[in-house]
Amino acid sequence: MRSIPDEQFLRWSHGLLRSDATSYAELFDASYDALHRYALYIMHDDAAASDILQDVYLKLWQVRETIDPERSLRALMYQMVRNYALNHERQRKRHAAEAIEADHPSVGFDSVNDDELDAAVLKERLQIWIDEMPERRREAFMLSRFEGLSHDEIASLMDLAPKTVNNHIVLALQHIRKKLDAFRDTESYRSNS
Amino acid sequence: MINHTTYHLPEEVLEGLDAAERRSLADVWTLCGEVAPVIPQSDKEALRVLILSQAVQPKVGVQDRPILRPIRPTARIHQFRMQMVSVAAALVVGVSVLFSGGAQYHAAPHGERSLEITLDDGSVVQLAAGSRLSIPDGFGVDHRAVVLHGEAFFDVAKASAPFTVRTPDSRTTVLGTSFNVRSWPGALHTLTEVIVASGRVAVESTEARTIVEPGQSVTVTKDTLLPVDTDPQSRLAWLEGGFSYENELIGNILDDVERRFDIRVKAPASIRLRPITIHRNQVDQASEFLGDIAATVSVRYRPTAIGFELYLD
Repeated sequence: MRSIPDEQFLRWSHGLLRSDATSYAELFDASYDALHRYALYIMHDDAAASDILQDVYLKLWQVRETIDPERSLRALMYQMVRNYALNHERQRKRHAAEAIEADHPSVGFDSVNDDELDAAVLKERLQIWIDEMPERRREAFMLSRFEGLSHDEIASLMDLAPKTVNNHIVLALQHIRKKLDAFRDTESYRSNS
Repeated sequence: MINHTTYHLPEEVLEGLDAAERRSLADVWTLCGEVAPVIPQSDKEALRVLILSQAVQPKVGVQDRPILRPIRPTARIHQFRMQMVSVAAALVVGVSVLFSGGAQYHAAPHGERSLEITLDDGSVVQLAAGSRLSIPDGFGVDHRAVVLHGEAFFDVAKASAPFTVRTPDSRTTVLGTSFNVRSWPGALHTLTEVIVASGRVAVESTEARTIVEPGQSVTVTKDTLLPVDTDPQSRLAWLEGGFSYENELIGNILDDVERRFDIRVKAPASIRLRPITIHRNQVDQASEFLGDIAATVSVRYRPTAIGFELYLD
């Protein structure tokens, strides 16, 4: 969504105001993947993320007449996903308060075979290291890395100071580097022995 | 599997770090690009169908919800400008594909003055730029009811069955007459306005009903309908390529300009919410009319990449 110019979003805003189905379809095609990823960062559940996206797009059409073209439609859509996803997470946690959290299986760090030490394993590890981070740090990092949002945009979306966003991203990168260094040490130790 | 959309590490992140640290964090940043989540496309397709089906349902009561069907090849569409025929045809066909199982449905393209449609009962409709008209199954046989999104002038052929025009908040019923219905769902403050040129029409909203005489107009609200005198000739200037408003919010006027010229006009709320009375017979360039609006309320205007901007000094 980052690569889409603001003018395009402005055209879509006006299209929605006119109840133009073509604008709605174009906006959907252009924004779905990015918003689905964002829902995933918050919820870690494909099916739940799909449900949230359905709510968001249906709602967007319902409120189309109240859209303010002066304000960023891109920001509005991220904000809607965030609100719906966090709300969904809160309800899920309430319902599953005493149930064992089954959707974050702890992956055995100590059970990797020598011959698995390739790119695929590294990718899997990266995923784990990213998932290990505190929730808000991971969210800020992924919005920056995968959606290309600016620090200011992330700050307003997550209700943080831009400086805090920067700190989150620096700490996220340092966290992953530390894990990566340790991982490479193990690897070279293994290949030397 | 791998998402190759790479974005550069924001400069702020690297502030105050030494060269080695910068390099190593940039490496990590690049490496992390390998694990962007892959989005399942099957859910996406299903949702696309769902949301578009809601977007193209005209908002009408349950009882008279039109049974949608494909456009008949005999639907007669006349264009003011012949060179636009293919563009309009592409648009109508494109929209009918969206309406899978679609209605007989007409859409006037942006940037054109209007689209003229002759209905099966002989009534003639001038559809303003960006407006849509859907015609439920059985028109001219079982009923004479249409659903309007936007603005249109109706010259209704006399017949025993009443002719009705529905908008989200009103129903206008006539036997044989000519009148204008304006109903833009995005409009500020008011939704539907009916102007009668000849004959009498009945206008209904959720809780009110009134008769509008020739030379009168009525603005639809939920519980009151109060016809007022107006000059249809001048108010319907849009039919001849003009613009004419009485005490209308600038925001609503700018929306018309956008549709008529297929441009975008930016203006702050402080300008959009100001009502003006303005009349121009024939407007060929958006800039002429925007200049008039700007002069009327003493604001400035300038061109932008996609149209114009009205702004305060």
